[in-house]
Amino acid sequence: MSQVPSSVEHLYETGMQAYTLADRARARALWIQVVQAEPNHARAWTALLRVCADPAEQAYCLMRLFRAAPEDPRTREALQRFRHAHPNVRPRILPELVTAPAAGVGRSQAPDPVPKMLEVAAEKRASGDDEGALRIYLDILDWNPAHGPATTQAARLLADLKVLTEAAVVLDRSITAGNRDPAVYLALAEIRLHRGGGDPWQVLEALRRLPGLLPGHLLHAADLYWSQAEYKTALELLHEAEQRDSHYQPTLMRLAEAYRDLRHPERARQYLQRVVDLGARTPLGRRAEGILLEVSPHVPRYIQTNLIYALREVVGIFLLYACLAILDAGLTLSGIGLAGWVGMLLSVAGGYLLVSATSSPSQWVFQRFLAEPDEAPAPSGGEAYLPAMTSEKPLPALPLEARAVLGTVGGVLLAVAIVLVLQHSLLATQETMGMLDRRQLPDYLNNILSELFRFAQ
Amino acid sequence: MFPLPVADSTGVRYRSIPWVTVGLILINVAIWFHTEIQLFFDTAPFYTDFGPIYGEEIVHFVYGTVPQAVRNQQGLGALSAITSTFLHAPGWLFCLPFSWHLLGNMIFLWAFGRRIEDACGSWRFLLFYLLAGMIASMASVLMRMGSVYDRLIPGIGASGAIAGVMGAFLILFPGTRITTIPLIGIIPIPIRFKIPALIYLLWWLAQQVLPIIQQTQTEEYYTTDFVAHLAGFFAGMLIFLFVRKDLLYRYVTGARL
Repeated sequence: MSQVPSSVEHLYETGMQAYTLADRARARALWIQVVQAEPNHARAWTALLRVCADPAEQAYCLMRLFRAAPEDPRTREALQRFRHAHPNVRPRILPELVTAPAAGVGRSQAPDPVPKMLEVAAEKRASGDDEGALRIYLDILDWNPAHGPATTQAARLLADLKVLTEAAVVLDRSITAGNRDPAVYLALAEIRLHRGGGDPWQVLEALRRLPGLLPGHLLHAADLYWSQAEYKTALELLHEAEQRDSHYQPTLMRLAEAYRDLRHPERARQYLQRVVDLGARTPLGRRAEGILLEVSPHVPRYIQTNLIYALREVVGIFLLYACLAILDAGLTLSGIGLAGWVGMLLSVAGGYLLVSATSSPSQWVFQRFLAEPDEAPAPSGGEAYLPAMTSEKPLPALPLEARAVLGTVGGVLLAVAIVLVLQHSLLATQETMGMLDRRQLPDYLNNILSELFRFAQ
Repeated sequence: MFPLPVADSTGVRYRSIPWVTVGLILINVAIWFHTEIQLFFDTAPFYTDFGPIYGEEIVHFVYGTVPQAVRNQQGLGALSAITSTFLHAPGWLFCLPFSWHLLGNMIFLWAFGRRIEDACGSWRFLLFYLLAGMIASMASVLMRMGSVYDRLIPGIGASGAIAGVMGAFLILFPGTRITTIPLIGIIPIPIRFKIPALIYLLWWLAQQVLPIIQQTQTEEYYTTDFVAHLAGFFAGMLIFLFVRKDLLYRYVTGARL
């Protein structure tokens, strides 16, 4: 370790000698090696400032000098003079620092200034000094164009300032420098889609090749394709997102919306149902249920299994039988015989069995006879996005065979019931029809017609 | 001028073919034609205490709801409450058999029935239709039993059941609009008017109530059974026992039907 400072000092001194001999190129190369080995070597940065002709490079040297010796009043004064002379110049890293590694000199263990700079920038943002923060982020990017947080923040600030082209440049540079953050790709593609300045599809293709993409990134990319009517690719991306995490509600919801737009209501309904199954109480679940109610006959599970909803249909059947029984008894309750009452009771039983076999096959009444529902596969990451999401355990419908048996028994009971409630009417009808077939008028009809004949006279 | 309803004009999304509505219309028409044709050729009389009588004169007494027969458990008894809903008055137009009674009822059934069948599902709609018709018949029998003349007159027609369908329509879809064509006399004018269902059905209801009030004051006889219409209309409230679960759920949660 002790050798490192002595080597650095030797390089610095050699550079000074070269500079004295007017060998600016050699001096520059030597000082570059010094700052590579010792990034906060203030004298080396001051020396480099002398050999940099480009104001952008000078700005960079000044920035690094300021960082190396922030308390030095001369540094601050120099920086102020420079800003005054070149107000619009942005620092640009010296090319040798990007391309050439330090030769023969070990890197020092000096602390990385970037975290501190990020902190300062965050403070500036908090105090409303967005431009100040932006300058810091850009400084960081000059040092490391692929820096993720700085790229994101700088692009966001530039977008806020409506300088989208600049934001695109920052993002593009970041990607070129090796940033593999999908959000950066998406932001660049979005800007290019809306503002031009490059091929957005190329960026999106590159994004698709990135490892470790999350469903959210794929959804965002799908939305970009969808917005440009590239439906096929958008659907491919959505299905890819579904494959990555089949329990991610936003993916399923987006697929449902896509299929609705593409006029595939049945597929849309399936996805909406899956969204609801994953969690009917989440905002997306509620939205999916609302759409399901609009687009198709849909009954929430707690209504499907509700006994009251099933019994109300039984009441309807019972009323029909009760009316028949009352009419059969000559419109008197007291005239309803035992058979009539039994018939009405049977109509309730038969009606309930029939309703259970047809419109209400999943009721908690039958729960003990039902097979346990299949366990849903464990979420494969969806909870990371939606922690409140819980899968409802559905109550299955009665098996088809059981429904067939219930329906048959119910139908037989209802048929028996109708014979019981209409016992008088069926006998009287048989008698009346028999007489009419023999061309004889039943007595009651003869009496009615005679009375009417008298009225007419 | 009478606004004849032909359809509801909202964006109706019939989820199924209205088999029962269409079936009921076909059955009613078929029964009417069958009765007319059969009786036309049936020339053998029935002999009564006051002379011979022909089939066409007694068919409504046999299959219609005669209050006295129902009360005394005679004839078809309770079954007449069902059979009467499939019978309609005979008539002629330009020397051809034609029934305004049948035509009017079937138009109303077509206009309102499809939407209610859509809301119930076919089988439940059939049950509701029969129940409404039966309640209408029961109310009619009970009211007419008090009259020495009316208790002998058969009640026929699907109007009680169709009134139930209209009542159900008012409850479920009051915000929709009814497409009507004006009828001047018996001539339809080919212009379509859209009337809010609420206004149309309440106007129709008022038309049934006023004659009943008038009847109680003057003891005048009407050939139209307004009591059956009124009872059927109120039986429409029972629609909640028959509508599909999803629609009931939407209704109770205030969602658009």
